[in-house]
Amino acid sequence: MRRDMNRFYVISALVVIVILLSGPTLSAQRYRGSAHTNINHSANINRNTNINVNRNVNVNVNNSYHGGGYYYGGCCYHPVAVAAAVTATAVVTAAVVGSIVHSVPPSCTTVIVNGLAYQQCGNTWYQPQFAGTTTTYVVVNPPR
Amino acid sequence: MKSSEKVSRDLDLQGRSNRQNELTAKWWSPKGVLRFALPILITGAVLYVPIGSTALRNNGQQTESKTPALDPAAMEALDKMGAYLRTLKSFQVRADVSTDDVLEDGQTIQSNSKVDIVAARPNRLRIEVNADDGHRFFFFDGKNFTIFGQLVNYYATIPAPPTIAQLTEDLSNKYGIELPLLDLFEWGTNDTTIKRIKGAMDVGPSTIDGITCEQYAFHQDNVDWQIWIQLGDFPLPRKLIIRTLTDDAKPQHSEMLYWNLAPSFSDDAFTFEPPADARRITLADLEAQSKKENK
Repeated sequence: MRRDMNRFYVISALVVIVILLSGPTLSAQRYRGSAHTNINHSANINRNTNINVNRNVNVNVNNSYHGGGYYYGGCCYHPVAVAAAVTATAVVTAAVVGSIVHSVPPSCTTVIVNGLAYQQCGNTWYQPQFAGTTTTYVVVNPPR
Repeated sequence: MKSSEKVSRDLDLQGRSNRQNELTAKWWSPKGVLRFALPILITGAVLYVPIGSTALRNNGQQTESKTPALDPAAMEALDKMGAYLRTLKSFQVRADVSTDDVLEDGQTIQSNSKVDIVAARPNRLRIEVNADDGHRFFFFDGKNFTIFGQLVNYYATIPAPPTIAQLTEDLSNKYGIELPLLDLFEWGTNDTTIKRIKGAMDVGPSTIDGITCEQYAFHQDNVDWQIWIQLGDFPLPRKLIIRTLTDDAKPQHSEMLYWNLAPSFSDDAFTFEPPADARRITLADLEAQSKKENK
């Protein structure tokens, strides 16, 4: 009986060790960097941070009919641009003005103001921009 | 030879399994576990430190003793190629490009694209990039630069500096855009690119896409790179591989280059005519944004 208990302790200890050693929990993998694409002209830009790997996820979630939602450029955005969002002043809208997102809800409509495209989603206005070769959407005050 | 190896391996395995059978009788009892685990842990702890430190020391010595040699033939070939590229007033180059991205845990993921460039020096450029993550165009007509994303159907146009060289500099520094195959426009333009080279070797002849080339390997601070240069009167780069050394995963970028030295194009080709349903947006000045952020 005591021998059985001993065996039980040892085995459960081993099980715990195996669980601990079995590596990090399953979570979405993100990019930490990328290969240089040329020899001498490396831009001081850190691509790929904080974006999920799966291209299909990006496409399916964001490829909306209005063309405003497609997450173009896939993998990359500029962390500087995102950091800049923090300084913007908040006004009374659904999202903080100045914050930057990679896609807009599918219900938005495209509105042209002064020749530039905006996405109006209820009370929230987004201004699409190219940040590098990626399209991002900046929450702005209503342009008119 | 093979059979004797197999026999000895079999014997060895049997020996091990026999011993294991004897041991399994008691291995799980606390005493048994201790009896086996303790010596292993102790020897492991004792061996780990010295082995680790000597390995480090050896590596250090290796990198120190690695004298950077600049093979004159390799450097000359690079000069010759650069000078030849500068003689091309206009050209079209298509490329199959692959680039590794690195995941947080160090695994590399390759993405692929097809690039088509038509260039007319010094101030006109039209680039199409068909990539896994988008289909984009770049236009430069000497006055304006336009980026057009076909999937989003957005474009952005900015006033551009007067030359391709200045444009690529601006795009890289201010706008976070690295045009593809940029090295084609850098080689032969200045000495600084040559001065960065710390090691150069002539690997030997190699055939790329049926064309006899000479393969060269170069080493710089942050990258190792290899280039295949066509032999004969047209020393064109046919293949380029760049390995990034600053990430432990050493991600790789490669370009297979297909040249057309007599492209036909009209002047309109370099000016963006937006499709009727394309919408104009802005191109973020990331340099200005980050300066603002740092204040």
